[in-house]
Amino acid sequence: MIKTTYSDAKLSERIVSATLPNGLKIFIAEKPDFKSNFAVFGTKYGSIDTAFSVGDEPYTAVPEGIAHYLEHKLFESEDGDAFTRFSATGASANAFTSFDRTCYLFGCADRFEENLDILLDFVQSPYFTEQTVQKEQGIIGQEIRMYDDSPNWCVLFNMLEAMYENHPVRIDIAGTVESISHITADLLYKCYDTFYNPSNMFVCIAGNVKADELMKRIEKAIKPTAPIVVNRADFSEGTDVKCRYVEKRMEVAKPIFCFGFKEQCEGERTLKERIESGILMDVLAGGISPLYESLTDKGLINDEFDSEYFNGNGYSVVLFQGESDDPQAVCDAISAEIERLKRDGIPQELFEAARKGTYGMAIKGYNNVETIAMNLVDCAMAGFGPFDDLEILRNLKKEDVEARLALINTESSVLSVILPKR
Amino acid sequence: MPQKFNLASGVDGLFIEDSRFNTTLISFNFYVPLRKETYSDYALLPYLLSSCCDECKTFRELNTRLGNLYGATISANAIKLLDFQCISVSLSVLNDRFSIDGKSIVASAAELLASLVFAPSLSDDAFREADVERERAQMLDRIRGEINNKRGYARGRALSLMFGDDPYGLPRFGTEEDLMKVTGESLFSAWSRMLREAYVHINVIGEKLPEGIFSAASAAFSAIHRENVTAFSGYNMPNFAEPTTECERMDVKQGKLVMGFSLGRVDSEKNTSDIMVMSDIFGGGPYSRLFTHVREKLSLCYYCSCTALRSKAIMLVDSGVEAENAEKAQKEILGQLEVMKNGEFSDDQFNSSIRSICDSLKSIGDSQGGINAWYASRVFDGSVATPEDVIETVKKVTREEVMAAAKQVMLHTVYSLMPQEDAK
Repeated sequence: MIKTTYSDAKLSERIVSATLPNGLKIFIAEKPDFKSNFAVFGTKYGSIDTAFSVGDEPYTAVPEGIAHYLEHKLFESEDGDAFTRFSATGASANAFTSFDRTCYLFGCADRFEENLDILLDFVQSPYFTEQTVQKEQGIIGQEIRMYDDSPNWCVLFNMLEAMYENHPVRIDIAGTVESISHITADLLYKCYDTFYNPSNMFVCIAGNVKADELMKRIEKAIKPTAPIVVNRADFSEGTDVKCRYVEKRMEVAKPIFCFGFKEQCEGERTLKERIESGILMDVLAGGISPLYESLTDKGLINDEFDSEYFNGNGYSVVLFQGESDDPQAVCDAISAEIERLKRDGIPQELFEAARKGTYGMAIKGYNNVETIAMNLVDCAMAGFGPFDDLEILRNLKKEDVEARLALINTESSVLSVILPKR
Repeated sequence: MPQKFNLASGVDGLFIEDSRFNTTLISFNFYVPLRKETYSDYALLPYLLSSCCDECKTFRELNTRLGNLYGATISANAIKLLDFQCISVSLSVLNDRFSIDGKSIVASAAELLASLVFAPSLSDDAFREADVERERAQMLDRIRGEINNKRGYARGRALSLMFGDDPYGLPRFGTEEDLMKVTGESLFSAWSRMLREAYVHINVIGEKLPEGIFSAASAAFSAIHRENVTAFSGYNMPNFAEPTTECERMDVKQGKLVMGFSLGRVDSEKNTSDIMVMSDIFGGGPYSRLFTHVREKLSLCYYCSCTALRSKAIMLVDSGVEAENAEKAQKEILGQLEVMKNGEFSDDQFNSSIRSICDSLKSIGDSQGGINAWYASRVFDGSVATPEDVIETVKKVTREEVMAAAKQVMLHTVYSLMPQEDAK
């Protein structure tokens, strides 16, 4: 096991990483003065991985929502569930599935090593039978219905569905009541054996721990498995959108909108590109921007307004979300501001305020063990170092951000609106 | 250990030295009596104060200043606490050693925070009309937007039903009707009254006390004629409305069921701990009666949990439930309360709960926000207990005390939000 130690000139943080011979990536941040600890055991496997193959095998297509279903089922074992085991230690455990990852996690102050053993064990111990798989359909069906009542969730997925022809980012993470009805124990094992191979997984920890000791503990707990090569179907597509406007009526107080520009994206964005686009969002529509001020003064947006650079493998969207009585006017103003900044350039002082603000927020992240561990998950997923973001931010130029701005095609936009029922 | 300083009449400063954080947190907390007639002014005030000031007249100017102070953040809110409304304006700022250009960050940010609190943007003896209208519109959206989050909306409705005309029953952001009565003048008068009469608690959490922060606050408050300062007159029993059951219909896919319970008297750290353990075994973690029985065993709800609000001696059970299961879920939830009263919870559940509560309490000190919230919510407690003190009390809670706490619990209100009947 070859270990790498990371540090930053300004921060008094020590982070150690290693990759085991079977490919498992480990990142550990030592926070010796903290009482709390946070650990994540995860896999680069999310709702977008709907078709895949191992080695030379033909591609397998699986039902929508299966990654999330698998996450639910993994908590169960033949002799009880993982929550019960964590209950005995006082830890607070959870899990989530997103577009590109599934993470199992816990936070605790006491008995960290015991909790880590439970985490490493249950994630490596699948137990699915047709009967237990069947039983979960009711619970997940209820979860899907709960999200069906969430306007912020619906407005995003309606936009993605209108924006993407084929890419599975367009489907709901939990799937549909219909799609999950096709999930079987065999399919769950197939997905598990493919994506829960250590070569596709990571363990990220932050807390009052000693990295060297933990590395050994993790290595011992990981079952011997040969690394595999997973091929993920390529769903990348051009910047054409299916439909530029979608709407739905729900029980909301005023119209909720999600507006996005689709970008050309093969594979994944680099860390530098993500940071540049993040700063661009602040310059374009953050609290420091002329646009935000003008939209607020006109009463077109409220403090729900937010922007995000939303991206992953094969998808990339410059995205704005909020509430407005006139969503179209907000979108027109955003598009006009993009064209104006393309023409006039980004003012240096605006860029500086955004850069310094982003830098400060990155350093603030080291106040909290959960934030650190989740940031390390990003490192493990995308293959960058823990402090690379700070170095990029220190050296970033306005021209780098302007180059990202130039890539936005204002014709490749989708506006999704949830209108009030009454 | 926190160091407490008296800065002026009814103004205390609390400094918690902690060098583990990269930031310094400074929070001004003002405690005023909870009254319907002043509720909306005070609810709007922190948003107005944190949006601009005489020095930074627009939100954009303020945000640019904050961005250049390395992403310093200002947060503001007003919450109900016991018989008070607590108005907070807080700042979180990066410590000076992280400055790229070597300039001081904390002192500048602290001055900016003081400007927001003491030197707002005014026009004669009123807040400026444009600022008031902008913040009123935002607040109106917050009030109306409560419905967007069905779980939060249902909890809010249950609370309002439990408290009826008591000001604690007012919606979190106040009512539309009262908001419309707010003016630049009424806000000015609320702000002046707050500076004059509120009990003020300034929390500072960071590696060192920013130079001059408390002396500046002391000077600012000493220049104000402080009078009728808000005082704590003991724990009062909540003023409940008549028990009620209400079902609201909406176009939703999943129903929400919220049950409000009264807890009897909650007036000491000891019986607070009994209640904390009782409500946690009942509906806290995944080991709880509600999770293991109502959700996992019977699959009646997607979520089913309970939270105790010690400041008002109540407990809310809320669940996401299919309409056809609502009646059965309600019966099963009450059945589990009987289990608590009869002490039929397992030793594992009892021990898991104690461990889980203690574990969470231990972690509070690892977050500046957690530390601030802890002390801000305990200003009337006399000798302020640290999380470690509470851990010791929780560890001593017995099964019998949990049963005794459960026996005080009475169902008061049932609110449900269900799909339209024709949608079944």
